[in-house]
Amino acid sequence: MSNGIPLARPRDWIKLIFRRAYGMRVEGDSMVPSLRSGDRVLIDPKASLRPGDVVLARHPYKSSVRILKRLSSIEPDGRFYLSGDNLDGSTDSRTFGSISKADVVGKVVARLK
Amino acid sequence: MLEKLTKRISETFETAEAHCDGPCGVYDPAQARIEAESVLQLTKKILDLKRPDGDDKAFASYQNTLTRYIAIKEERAELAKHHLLVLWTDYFKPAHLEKFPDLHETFWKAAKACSSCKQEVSLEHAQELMDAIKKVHEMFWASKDKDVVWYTAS
Repeated sequence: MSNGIPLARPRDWIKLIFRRAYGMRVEGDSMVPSLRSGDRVLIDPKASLRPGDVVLARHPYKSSVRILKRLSSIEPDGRFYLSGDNLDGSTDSRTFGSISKADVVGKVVARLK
Repeated sequence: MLEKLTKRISETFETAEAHCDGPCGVYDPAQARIEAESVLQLTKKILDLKRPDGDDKAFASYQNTLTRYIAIKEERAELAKHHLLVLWTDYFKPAHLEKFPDLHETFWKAAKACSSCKQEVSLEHAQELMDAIKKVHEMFWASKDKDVVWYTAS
């Protein structure tokens, strides 16, 4: 399984145009090297989620903040454990614990150049 | 044309955060080392200080100097402990523990040495503190795959 986020293909753009997916701008270094600050990514809120996917989630303590992290595992009780790819520069489930599935907003399906 | 359009679309995107809650990566065991060096120096100064034979004025001056040494030693030992705890609880993560199995033991000893340095005037414990911080320095830079030489200011 590759950790990289693929570049958007035509079908991703179609999803964006028909609002089946939406874009977000990445800020910060916690997902380096997979994502860098300034990258633009496409979020699919309906995509099924598997460990290893990069997801957009609500910060458990800051309701207005949306965070991008990798879903590293799904715990036996169904909660999601998130971590940054750059462990030295990431605040994630190691700090705030696992998050509820309801707080996951969508899956990062592509990078837009 | 297409590029312009995609750029235009991208500009409307909201921000998703991918960072830490604190400033990323601004940690360095040097902070603890500097404070611990002060503790070691002050311990030496306290032990070297001679009680004056002279009058009350000389005694007052002696008392003043000794009190200041003790107060600064107390303060610096507390600061060393603070900086160590920040590294221990904020910087080091479970993944590091696999690489450095004695990480907890090292920090625990270092923090305890800070307390001993306050309670006593002990060169031995001040040196123990420096040795523990040297070990923290080695683990810290190894965790970043950087070879940073240990040095002291004094």
